[in-house]
Amino acid sequence: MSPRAPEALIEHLWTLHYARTMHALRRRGVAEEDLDDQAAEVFVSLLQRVRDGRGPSDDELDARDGRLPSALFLLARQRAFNYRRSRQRNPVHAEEDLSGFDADPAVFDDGRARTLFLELRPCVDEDAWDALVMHRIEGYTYPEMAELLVRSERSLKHLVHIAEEALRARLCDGQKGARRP
Amino acid sequence: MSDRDPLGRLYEAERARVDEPDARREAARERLRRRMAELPPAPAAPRSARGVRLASGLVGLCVGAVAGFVAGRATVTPRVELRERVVVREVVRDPLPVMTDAGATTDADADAEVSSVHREVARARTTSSDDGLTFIAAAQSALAHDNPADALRLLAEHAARHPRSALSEERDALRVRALSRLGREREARAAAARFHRAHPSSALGAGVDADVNGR
Repeated sequence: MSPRAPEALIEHLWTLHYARTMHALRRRGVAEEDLDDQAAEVFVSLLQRVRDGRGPSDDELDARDGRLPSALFLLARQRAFNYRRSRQRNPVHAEEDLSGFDADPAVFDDGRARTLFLELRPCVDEDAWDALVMHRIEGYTYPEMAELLVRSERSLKHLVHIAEEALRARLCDGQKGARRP
Repeated sequence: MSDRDPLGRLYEAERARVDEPDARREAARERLRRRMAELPPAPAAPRSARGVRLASGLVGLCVGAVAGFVAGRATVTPRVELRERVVVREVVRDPLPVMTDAGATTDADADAEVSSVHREVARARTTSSDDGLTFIAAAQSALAHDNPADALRLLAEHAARHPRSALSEERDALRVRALSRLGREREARAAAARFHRAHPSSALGAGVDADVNGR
């Protein structure tokens, strides 16, 4: 890690990784109105670690393949988990609007597809959703996920599979529902 | 609907997220600066990371030991009674017959009861001389520093090296907490159930439940 002052280092990291941190939190269930606060807390946690002499190594701050550095990723993931737990959000059925959904981008634009994707989160088990987002959206390979989350690759593949099954089933049901007169 | 994979379409859209609007970014930067300013100033001479971890681990162990002692006084389990009996027999029959590492006696005259006493003594000797404490202290420290993944690794290593450790109660409780912090709720609940089965009168039971229930 560079020898600069901790606050300056955090601001530098914030400039580099603010957007990715927001994305990571948003994908893990942090509401839009709370995103800024939660993102700030991620960086404040990192600052506290640096001040306590427990700052991340250069390797943990290395942003490979355009992803969040592992130190920030784990803090953001933990922050989102604590947020969900504190909000006691346990919705069983999503309130997503599947009417008009079409896989063709010309019909259903990216903005609507993104909104729908996040609205589908409550249909999926929390662990499975996290694995799905890491693998399909954030680009982590299974070996990388296994190392970060201390799980076997096999269990992670299974989680991604059950998440996709749940999403497909929901999309399929929604489409059938939407076609009903 | 088109023939494209609907999930692929959603993934593609989500991956294509770009930066946040500039106005929001600037407001968030100000918010971060305010939060950083609110933090208490850093200590003048920061302790080494190793020192911090060790101190934190020792404090946690002291608290655990006191809680365990209080609980042991409140409810005397059969295991405690056996250990008390072991001490008495050690005094009466001193010196004890030679023990192998596996806990089997080589004294031909030892009867079945004495063998069971020997096993208890051997276990106590093993646990008092081994290094399992280091793993537990390190795992507590890792948890205290928001590093549940490391804690889980250390606990797994402790379990592999010291499967019959006297610290298994603490280890199992810490495992529940680490899993819970990692967001692996289902596994945390299963580990908590195993904890209660293995240590039904544990003083750490309430803490384990609190970890699982997110209190």
